[in-house]
Amino acid sequence: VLDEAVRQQMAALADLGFGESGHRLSALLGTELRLERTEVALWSAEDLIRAHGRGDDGVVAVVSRLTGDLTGAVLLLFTPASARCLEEMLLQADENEEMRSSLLSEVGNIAAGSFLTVLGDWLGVRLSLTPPVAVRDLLGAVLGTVLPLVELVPDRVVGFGTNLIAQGRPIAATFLFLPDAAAYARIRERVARAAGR
Amino acid sequence: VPPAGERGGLEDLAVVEVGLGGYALSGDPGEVLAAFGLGSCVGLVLCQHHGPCALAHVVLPHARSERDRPTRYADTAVPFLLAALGGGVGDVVAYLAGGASMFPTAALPDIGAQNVAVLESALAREGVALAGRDVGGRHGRTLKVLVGRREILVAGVGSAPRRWVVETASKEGRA
Repeated sequence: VLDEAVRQQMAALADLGFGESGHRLSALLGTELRLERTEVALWSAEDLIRAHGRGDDGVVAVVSRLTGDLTGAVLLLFTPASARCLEEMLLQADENEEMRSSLLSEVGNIAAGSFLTVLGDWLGVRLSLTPPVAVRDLLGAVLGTVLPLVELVPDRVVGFGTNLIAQGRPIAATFLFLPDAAAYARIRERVARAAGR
Repeated sequence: VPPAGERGGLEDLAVVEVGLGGYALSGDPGEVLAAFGLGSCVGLVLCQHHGPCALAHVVLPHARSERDRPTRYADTAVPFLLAALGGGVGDVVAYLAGGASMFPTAALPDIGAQNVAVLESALAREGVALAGRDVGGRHGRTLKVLVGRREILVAGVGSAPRRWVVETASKEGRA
């Protein structure tokens, strides 16, 4: 489903997209934000939950649905502590909950939007996102709700994941681009064509 | 009887974590069956009145092929767990927790409500009494089955915890 050559091509594409996301985030927020260490892999929900903690750990998640010519989901996951850290860096101390959620939604929106612009241009397709929704809930509840909607085969999703670095400090955050089976087939076909396979 | 959480001692119990699509069955009084972080997923508990309990972590409403794990899907989980428990349906009670609509404004389908509806239909079709349900809402839950204490605990984000004691009377004997 995900052979090494295709995985490498996709990782290079994702690096390009995430690089653009970092530039735009930094410019908009007035501070250095980078997305790095891209991973393209086939994950089960359990893998992803274990990678981030336990199912009943708290998480702050920003969720958008990918629409247009390709469909899927985009997720930005923060630990509660890392969300607080980012909020403290970028907001006044007395900002309310709505403003804090709005900041995280905007970070998710920009990270996803820039990445999708690069991906869409490369694929020659039109991609768009539903407005991001930020929730504070349980890790298992968030991943267990979103991942089944985009799985490639039962209990397996293909994900483009990256970490967030703010002002040189790693923030415990993961950005996940999760194409559904039809979208993944299209990306894979284009990657294979580019690689002359 | 005070709630189990207030009596302490849960740390002495062995936790059997039931991940997405999985299930566990136990009659061991030293075990806790647990589904951590149920969102749109539903924890389906079937307990014999005087026997073991089973917990399935149901993810989606409908199975797509016969090769799929039966406890992953609402339409196949109930008959599978009943067969695993053994005994007659009159000796079994059911409890449901989960099925939240986590992202009502994110244009995602409401899988939680579908999971609950399919499970309730399946329980009715099989003639299994539904003794407790804590479903819907907007937030996740964690479900634990304390096998030895015959208790089921549900802790939700932002909601009061729920506790059920597994009924020990048969269907005919209940009020």
